[in-house]
Amino acid sequence: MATFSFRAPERWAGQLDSGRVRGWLQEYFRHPQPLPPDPGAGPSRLSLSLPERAVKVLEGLSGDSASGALRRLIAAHITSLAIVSQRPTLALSGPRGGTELSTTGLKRRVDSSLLPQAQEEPHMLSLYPKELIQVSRSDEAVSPIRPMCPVTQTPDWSQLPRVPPWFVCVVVAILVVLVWWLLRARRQGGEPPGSGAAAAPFKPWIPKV
Amino acid sequence: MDVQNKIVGVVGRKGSGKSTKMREILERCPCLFLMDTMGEHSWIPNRFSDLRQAYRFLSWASAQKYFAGALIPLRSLEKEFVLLADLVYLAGNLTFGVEEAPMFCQPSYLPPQFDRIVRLGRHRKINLVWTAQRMAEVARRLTAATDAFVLFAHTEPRDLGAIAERCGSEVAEQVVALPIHGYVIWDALSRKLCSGVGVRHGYDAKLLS
Repeated sequence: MATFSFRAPERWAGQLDSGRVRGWLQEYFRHPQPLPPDPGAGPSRLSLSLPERAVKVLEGLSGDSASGALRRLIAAHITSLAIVSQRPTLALSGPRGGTELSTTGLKRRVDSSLLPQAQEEPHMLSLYPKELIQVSRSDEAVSPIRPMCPVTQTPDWSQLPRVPPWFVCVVVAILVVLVWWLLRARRQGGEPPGSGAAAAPFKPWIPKV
Repeated sequence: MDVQNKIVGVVGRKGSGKSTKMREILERCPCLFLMDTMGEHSWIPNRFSDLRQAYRFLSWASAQKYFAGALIPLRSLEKEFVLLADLVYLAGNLTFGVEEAPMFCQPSYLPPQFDRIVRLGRHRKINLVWTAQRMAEVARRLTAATDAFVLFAHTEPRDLGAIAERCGSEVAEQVVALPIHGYVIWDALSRKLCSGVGVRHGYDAKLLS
């Protein structure tokens, strides 16, 4: 956890706390949405205790600085803040100090009906987005972002070397001839005496009179 | 006297025509198997170098009216001859040819398996035709059981002595005077001497009859 201090619009003062922003971070990583543009630095100053790594990922995804990325994230959720007065927040990790705003969110009881799906998830949030962030043409401020970690891709089977059909035919023919020869040798060696009378393998003999 | 089988010996120096004479005798046999020590008898249709193949052939031949086969030993002459003698005795009812019999026996020794054919072959209806370069090298047990001798020219005193001992001095005198490809036939059963200078006559056809 680290403390991030940045300037914010005046209207945000008193409405934010670290736990709430952490929940917005978690929500954003789970369902990444295009972020609104940066409302700009204002006269107010905010200090939030947030996971340093999550902020860095947000910073990389948004293409802004940490302050700008956090302002954009807050701007995406600040409008709904007035509607939902008791919006639950989820703690990203155990409190380790920071401002008193962060401890407030942790002590708040969570309403299970309003909890997102992450309620059963472990405390440590996966900081890497599972989906590529699609570039929205309407939002030119959002630059195309490539995934932070390589997505497991299935190999392109068409690129693998292919065995020519004629080679397969030759190999099969050789195997067939080999098996036939082995069976013949075994039959000749193991043939019981006298059983070859029906099909005489020997040359006839005609004595002179 | 009821003759159950015939044993014919063809004795002569190398190049005298033993193999040719042996062929003339064996060509008239309806069922024959040859121990082709030198690999000279290419006229035989079924030729083997593996005892297992010879065994399969003899098993097949047991149901045939006419057959002719030969074994050309590649490894151990004595071991393969002994095994072949066993196979021939088990098969029965055939003419067994042995090229260069002294390679498998000594004047006072016969392999037991071959000795069984010599002594008891009549019970299995096995005729025997053998060849040798020198009469003195042939086992006495074999010469004693031989019914007819085809003798080519001999000059070695020891061989002439052996001929005289087995066939009589008259035969030995005839043998000394023979030309290079000439031969005499001594029938030990009827004690009849016939001569032929490479000309086929009626007596030859009756050697194994």
